[in-house]
Parts: sequence; structure tokens; C-alpha cells
Amino acid sequence: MEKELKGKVAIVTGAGRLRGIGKTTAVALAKLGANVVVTGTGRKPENYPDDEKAVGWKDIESVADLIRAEGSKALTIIADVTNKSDVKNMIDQTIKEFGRIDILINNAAYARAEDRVPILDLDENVFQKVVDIKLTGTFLCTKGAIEHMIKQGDGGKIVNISSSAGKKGTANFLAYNAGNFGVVGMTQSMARELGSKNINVNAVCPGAVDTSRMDVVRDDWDRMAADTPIGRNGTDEEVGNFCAYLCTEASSWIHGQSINLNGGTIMEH
Amino acid sequence: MKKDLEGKTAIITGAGRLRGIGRATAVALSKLGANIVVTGTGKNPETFPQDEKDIGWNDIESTAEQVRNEGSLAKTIITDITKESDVKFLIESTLEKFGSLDILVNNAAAPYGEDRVPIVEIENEIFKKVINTKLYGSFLCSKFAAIAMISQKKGGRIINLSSSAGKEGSARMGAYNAANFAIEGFTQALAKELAMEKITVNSVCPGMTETSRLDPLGRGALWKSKAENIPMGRVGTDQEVADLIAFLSTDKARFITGQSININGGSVTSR
Repeated sequence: MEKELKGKVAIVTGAGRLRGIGKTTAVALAKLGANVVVTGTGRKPENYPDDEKAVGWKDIESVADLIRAEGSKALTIIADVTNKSDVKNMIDQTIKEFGRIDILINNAAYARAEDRVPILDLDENVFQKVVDIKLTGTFLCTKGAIEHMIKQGDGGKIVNISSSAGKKGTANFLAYNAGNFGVVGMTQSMARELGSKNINVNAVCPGAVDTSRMDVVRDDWDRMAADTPIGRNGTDEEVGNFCAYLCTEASSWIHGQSINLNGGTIMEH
Repeated sequence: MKKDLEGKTAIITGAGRLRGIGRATAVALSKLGANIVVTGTGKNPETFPQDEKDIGWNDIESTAEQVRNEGSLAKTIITDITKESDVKFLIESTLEKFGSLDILVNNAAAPYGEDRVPIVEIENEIFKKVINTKLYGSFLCSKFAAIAMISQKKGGRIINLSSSAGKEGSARMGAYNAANFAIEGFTQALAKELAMEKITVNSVCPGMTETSRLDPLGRGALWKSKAENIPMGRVGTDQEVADLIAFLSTDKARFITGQSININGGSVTSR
């Protein structure tokens, strides 16, 4: 049986971590037959988490190996998604290598930590950085990708990673709430503009997911799990599989939605 | 390769229409390997839509045939889901025939029609019937299915059909809005109660979908203008809604619970 996404080309931004939604989404898309472009910021190896160092993890290069192990082609690109020329290069390289773009996963986000402070303590540069990567980054990548999707004329799929923080405000989450609520709004706006072109645009809003992004809150991890109706936090694989589902033909009538994936912590909107 | 739902048993209520979400869901779940119990109300064949009469469609018996064509087992049970004794019989017969119950799809609804009038004009009995089928029926089926799933101790799936009408009120849709909004509240409560049992509970909220339920709208200018107002410029298909229900039924969706997911081509996005 032919794989569902055979012949399709996907870009997944922010896909360099061993434990991360970018990686699992890239692999899930590759399992369905898509060729996948993965981006990272070229983070210094000495900053990698210990478990990555222990297995000799090499950021997006290692993710590319996992994609190839599924029988798909992979391309790695260092890109700052907030930089217009970097994004242009990312799109150009993708077209040069694979000839088309069918799927864009806007996953890149600023690292969690220094932004989780009260408003009075929140540095404006940190605020700017969080919002810039989430919003300007998603905007620029989408703009670059849809130009080709529209030209190709056979539709496309855009999945934006938002968060429970895109549905509900929380103390000490100002920048992250703003960025993720913004993604939900952008998703609706993009969906209304791009629907007639058969380009589906949706957001995925995960709750607490076991990724290296969350290593800074391990002290609180068990309490977070206990607060979830289902009694546990999520896995990066669960989110990756759902993102991949939203990229299949079967999900074409799902459009403009920001879908919660959180074990029941937030049910509204 | 083992199919995703092999060895699982699903009940789908209200699955007798040729063009309908119930039938499409029965087929989608059977494609994934599940055995299927379908219910209908035993509607008089004279009331079947013309296209069903033309091909000799035989309500849930024909749906069961489609399930068997996918290599799965099927059972048909005439059920009034608003009657406790009927619902108990449905669950008991399912367990007797297939040994387990893993998935319940609460799809049955009162027909579209006499309820689509202003509230000041709606017959009290019509209002009650819409609420009774959708809400009380989903409650009864969920209650007895959940009892069975809890005692099996291997989790489960309950999927309720709501609608865009469960997210946004519209003139002349009072009864249907009330029933569907309520389904979403019920979904959230039940999801929280059953989460630790690994039983997920979600709703699916379709927008305008090409089914015989919407035949009273005709397929002329009104239909066309409604379709054009959808961001994707078209209505949905029963198959598309069924595909989402099928995804929610699989192990891959195990972390999704308590949600009421829109599938509507972008027509309602705000909730």
C-alpha cells in the first residue's frame, strides 16, 4: 500500500531536540512517507541536555538520520525563523532540494525559563524574543511556504504549535500566553484566507508534555501530572502523531481549529 | 500488520442512513478492524429517502453488510436509546456476541425538520424529543457502556456527536442548540470522571455535512450559498467526519480527552 504522504515535502521548524515535539512530528511525517526538512538554530553542543550528550546527539543532524531510517529523504537547515533572509533561504533550499512544499509545521519557540517571571520582573528583551519567535517566526515561515503552496495549486497543510497557554492565562506566563494566544488568532485568520486554496491551517495546543523544554520544571512535574484528569503528562510522540494526522487527506475538513491535546486539563475553546 | 482496532468492539447508534455519519463511522471503524454493533429505530421503509429506495437500501442491515465487506463482524439491534430497557439490552447483547465493548459512538439524533422554527412557535413535544434523543439517549448509552468498560479494566472510547450548533446559537435552532451545547458539558464532566479509567470522552462537532439529514435544505441556491460562506468553500462529507471519529478511537489519540473538536471547513473557529 502506498504511504499516505508519499511525494509530499514537509518543513518542521525547531526540530533539533532528542525529546521534543519537532523531532517526533518529523519522524511521524517520515513514517507516512513525506520527505522532511528540519530546522534548528545551531545551538552550541555544550548547551545540550545531559541525555543528549550521553548518546552523542547531534541536533537536527540526528533527527535527519531518524527520518532517513524511515526511508524518507531529509534536509537540515540552520535558520533563525525571525530573520527574513534566513526564512527565504530555508524556503529556497527546500525548493531546490525537493521541488515543492506541502506541509509546514511551525514548531520553533524560545526556550522556557527566564520568561516565567512576574510582569514587573519580565525583561522587555525576553518578552520580545518569546513573542518574536512564536509570532513573527510563524508569520514569516507561513508567508514563505504558502507562496509555493498557492503556486503549486494542489493545497497544503499548515500546523502551528500553540499550547494550553494559548487558551488560558496563567500568572508568570505573560510572554508565553501572549505568543500562544496570538498563534490561535493567526491560525483563524490564516484559515479564513487560505481555505479556498485548499490549504488547511490548524493549531495544536498541548498541555504538559515530557520534552527537554520542560526540564526546568521537573520539581513540579509530578504535581502537574496529578492535576491532569488522566493522571499523567503527555509524550512528544502523542503530539507528533496528532500533528501528522492533521497533515493527512483524512483530516481535510478540520480547518481553522486550535485543538487541545492535554489529558483533559483544559476543555474549553 | 495488525490493524489499529483489531479485537475491539464498537457500538454506533443511529447508523441506518445511506448518506450519514453513523454509516460512514461504522465502515471507518471496521476498516481499522473493529467489530461493529449498529442501531436504528426500525424506521418504516416507506419513509426512506428516494436514493435509498432506488438501490434497495435496507437501513442498518445494509450498513452491517458494508461492515462485513471490510472483513469485520457486524450485529444490528433495533434500539430506542431513550428507553433504559432497550439500552441495557443493546449493551448486554453486544457483550454476549463480542465479549467486550471498547468504543461507543453516540450518533443518534432526532430528525431535522419540525424543530427548526422560532422558539415562540416550537411544539413542546418536538423540543422535548430533540433533547430526549440527543441528551438523554447519549446519557443512557454512555452510562451503561461506561459500566461495562470500567469492569473490563482496559480503557475505552466514548465519542459524542455534537455540532457547530453546540458552539454557536442560531435563530430557529433553539432545541438543537440546547441539546448540542449540553452534549459538550456532558462530555467534559464524563471525561473527568472516567479519565483515570483510561476511558477518553470527546465530542465531534461537524459543520454542514452532505448527509440525508440535511435533505430538507434542498441542494439549490440556499445550499450553494451556505457552502460558499464556509472558508473552504464547500460542505463536508460523512466520510471526513467518520475519519476523525476513527482517529479518536485509536490508541494514538489516548491523550485527547474532554474535547469538543470542530470539523467544519473553518466556519466556526472561536470555541
